[in-house]
Amino acid sequence: MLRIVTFTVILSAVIWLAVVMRTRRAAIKIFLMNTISGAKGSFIKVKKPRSLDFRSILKCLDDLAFFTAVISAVFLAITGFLPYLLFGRPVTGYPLVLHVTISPFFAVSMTVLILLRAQSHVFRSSDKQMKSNVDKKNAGSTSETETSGKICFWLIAVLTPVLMGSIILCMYPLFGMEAQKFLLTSHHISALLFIVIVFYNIHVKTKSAITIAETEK
Amino acid sequence: MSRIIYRLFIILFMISGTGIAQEPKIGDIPDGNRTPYVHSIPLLDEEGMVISPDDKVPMPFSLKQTCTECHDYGRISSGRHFNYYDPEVSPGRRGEPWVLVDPVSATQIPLSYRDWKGTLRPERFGLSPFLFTEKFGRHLTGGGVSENDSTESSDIYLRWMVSGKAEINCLGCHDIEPGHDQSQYDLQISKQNYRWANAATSSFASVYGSAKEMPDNYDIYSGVVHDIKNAVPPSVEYAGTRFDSKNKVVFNLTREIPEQRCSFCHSAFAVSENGVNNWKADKDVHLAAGLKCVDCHRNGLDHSIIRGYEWEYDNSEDQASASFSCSGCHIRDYDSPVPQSGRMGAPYPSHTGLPEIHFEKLSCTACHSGPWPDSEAQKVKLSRVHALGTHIVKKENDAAPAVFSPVFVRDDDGKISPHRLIWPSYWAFMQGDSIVPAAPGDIQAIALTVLREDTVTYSANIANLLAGKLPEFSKDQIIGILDSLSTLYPDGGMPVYICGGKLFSLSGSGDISITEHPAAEPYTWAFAHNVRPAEQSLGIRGCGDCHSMDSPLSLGIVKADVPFDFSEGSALRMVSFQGKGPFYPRVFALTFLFRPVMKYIITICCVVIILVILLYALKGLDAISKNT
Repeated sequence: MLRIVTFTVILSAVIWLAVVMRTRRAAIKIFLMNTISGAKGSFIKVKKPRSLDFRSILKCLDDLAFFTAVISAVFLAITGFLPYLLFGRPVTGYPLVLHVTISPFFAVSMTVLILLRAQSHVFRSSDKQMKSNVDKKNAGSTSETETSGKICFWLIAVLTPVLMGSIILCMYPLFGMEAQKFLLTSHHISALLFIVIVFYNIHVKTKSAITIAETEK
Repeated sequence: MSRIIYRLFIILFMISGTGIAQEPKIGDIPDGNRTPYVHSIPLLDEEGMVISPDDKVPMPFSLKQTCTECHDYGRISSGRHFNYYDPEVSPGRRGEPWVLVDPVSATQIPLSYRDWKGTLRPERFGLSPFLFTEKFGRHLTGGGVSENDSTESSDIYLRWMVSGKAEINCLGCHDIEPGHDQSQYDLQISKQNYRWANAATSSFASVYGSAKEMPDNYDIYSGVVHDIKNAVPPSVEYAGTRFDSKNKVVFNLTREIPEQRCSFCHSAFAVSENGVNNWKADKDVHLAAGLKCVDCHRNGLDHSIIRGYEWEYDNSEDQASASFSCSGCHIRDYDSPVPQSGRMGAPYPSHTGLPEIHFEKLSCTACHSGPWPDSEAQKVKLSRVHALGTHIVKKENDAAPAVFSPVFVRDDDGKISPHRLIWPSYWAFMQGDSIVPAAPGDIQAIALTVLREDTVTYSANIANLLAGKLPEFSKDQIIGILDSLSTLYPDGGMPVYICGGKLFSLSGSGDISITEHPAAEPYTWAFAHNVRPAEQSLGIRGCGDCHSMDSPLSLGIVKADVPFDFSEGSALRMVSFQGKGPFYPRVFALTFLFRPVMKYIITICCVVIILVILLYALKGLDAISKNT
C-alpha cells in the first residue's frame, strides 16, 4: 500500500512539475545557473574569508548551503526511493551506503539554510492582509508567491527535523521493533511530504521569477 | 443360501480385520487424562509370541509386536526419524548428513537418503541397507532402511535372516528408566545383532554373542552354532524379577521425552585448543529455563516431528505447527486469529535499536545460536558424525571428519543463518562432466601401499590414523594414488581426488592440476542450538559486533583441511556463502567508523532547527497576542 502511495505521489509530483516547467524553461535555466554560479563564486570567496565582511560571509554560506542541500536532497531522494519503488524492498546495499554518507551534508546544509533564512521568512501583517484581499486579478502576484514561499519554507523547516529525527532515533538503542517500524514509516512519509513541498516551492519561486520578469518588461 | 450369507459374513469379517476400514488403536486415542498410562504389558517376540523368562531360548522382544497391540506402528513409521528412506517424502531443509569416513584413504563423504544437494546416496559407495545399518545404526532410530530386508543379493538376504530387522526403537526416546543404555544399541548393531539391539538398551535384558560371526544358515531358534570355534551365538537373558505373576513387565515410559534421550544423537560441542570443556559451556537457554526438546519439537501420532525452522510450513495449512518456531513463540503475530506468542513463557524481545532490515536479512539463529563467532570457523564434534557416546568414538579433538561451525550461509529462504560445514574428500573418476566415486575398498589398499612406501612420513601418518585423523598426503603421494587408479581402471575415466574444496587430477606433464568443481563444494546445513541468552547475542555490544572490518559474520574465514600446502589453499570468507564479495561489507563497515559522529551531527542539527522553529513560533504568538 505504501509503495503504491509513494509511487503515485512521486510520479504525480514529477509529472506535474515537468508539465509546469515546460512553460517556465527559461526561468528554470536562469534559476539553476544562478544557483551554480552563486555557489561557485561563494566557494571562491570563502577561501579568503578575511577579504569579506560578515554579511558577505553569510551570503556565501547561504549559497553554499543551498547548493549542497539541493544536490544532497536529490541524491537522498534517488537512493532512498528508487530501490524501494523498483524492488519493493527497503534501501540496502550500496544505495544505503550512499544515503548514509550524504545525509550529514543534507542535515548541516538544511540547518544553515533555516538558520540564515528564518528571519527573511517571518510572516508579516501584509501577508495576512494579502491573503485575505487577494482576488482573481491579483492571483499569481508577487506578494502572493512570497507568502506561499514563506509557508513552504516553514513547512520544510518543520518537516526537516521530523525527517532527520525519525531515522536518527532508530540508531539509538532506545526503541524496540514496533517503534522502529513506526519511525521508519515516519521517515518515509515525511520524505514524501518534503518532496511534494519542495516541488511546490520550486513552482512558487519560478512563478515569482516569471512575474518579476514580466513586470520589468 | 445360508452358506452364501455365512461366506459373505466371513469375507466382511476378514476385510474389517485387514485395515481397509481400520479403527484407531486404543493407545492412540487420548481420553484427556494427563496421568501417564502405566505400561504393564507382556513382551512379544517378532512372531507375536509371549516371552517368558523361563523360555529355553528366550527371544528378544520385538517392539513392533509388543507396542503395536495398542499403537499404530505403521503410522508411527511414517515419522521424520524413520521416513528418510522414502523417496516420496519431501526432504525439507538440508540437514545433518551421515559421514562416511575412511582415514586410510583420507575419505570423508556426506551421505544421505534424503535428496539434499551436496550429499551422495550411500549405495554409490557400496552401502546396501544392511551395511548402512551396520555402519551407522549406532545412531539410527531403527525402522526405515534398517527394516528393509532387501533382496538385492542372496548373501545379503540371508544375513538379514540371521541378524533380523532393526525395528523402530521406541525405547530409545520414550524409556525413562535410569538403566536405559543407548550405547548398547551401538554395540549390538556393530555385531549385526539387529533383532536384539532394542532389547539390549532396556534395563532388564542383557544381550550376548554376535550375529556377525554366525553362518548364513544359523537358526536363531536353536541357539546353537556348529563348526565355528569360539563363536558365541546371539542370545538374550531377562531379569526374572522384572516379570510379574502374569508374565508382564512394567515399562517406564513417557510422552514428555527428557533432553538426555535426544542428546544421544543430537549433541554438539565446539572443540577448542584447550580440549573439550563441557563444564565451562552453557546449556541451551531454553533447556536452562526448564523446557524440554519436545516442548518445541512436537509431533502427533504420526511422529512428523516439527523441525522448527521458520519456513518449514510455508506451503502448509497447518499453521498451528508453524507457530512452533522462534518467531512463532517470541514474536506477536497480529494476523493470527488466536494469539500464539508467549507460549511456555517465551519472552517478547524488544530488540531496541535494531533496524527492521535485520529481520529480513538474518534469521533469529544468526544472532542467537551456536558459539560466539570467531574470526575463523571452529571445529565441532557431533553425535552422529563422530559417533559420540559409543564405544568406537575417537576422543581426539581433531578426529575425522572435520566439521566447521558456525558458517554464516544464506539459506534457501534468503536469510543468513549459521550452518555447519564439511568439505567432501574422496577419490573418484571423472567421466565427462560427472564424478563417479571410486570403491572405498580399492582406494584403501592403494593408499596404504603408498603411505608405507614413504618412510619419512609413514610413522606420523600412522599416528594420525590411530588417533582417528586423516593422513596428510604429500603431492607425490596423491600423484602415486592417481597413477595407480588410472592403471587399475584404464576405462574408468580420469581419476581425481576431491579435497578441501578443490579437484586434484593429473595434468599431461604428470604433475598435479588443481581446479574448481561443483562436486568439491562444501556441504552445509543449518543449526539452531545451543541458543545463547539475549545478553550474549550478536549486536549486544553495538553495531560493531557485525559491522566492523573484521566482522566474523561476513569476513570470518572457513578453512579447509587440505592434504598438502598448495598456494591456492582453500580458505573462504563467510560472504562467499552469502552471495556477495568482501568489498561491500568492508565499505559498509567503514560507514560505522563515522556513524557516531554522524549521529551527533544530525541530532544537533535537529535540536537547532527545533529551537529555531520554537523561537519564531513563540515570537509569532507574541506578535499575534500583541495585535489582538
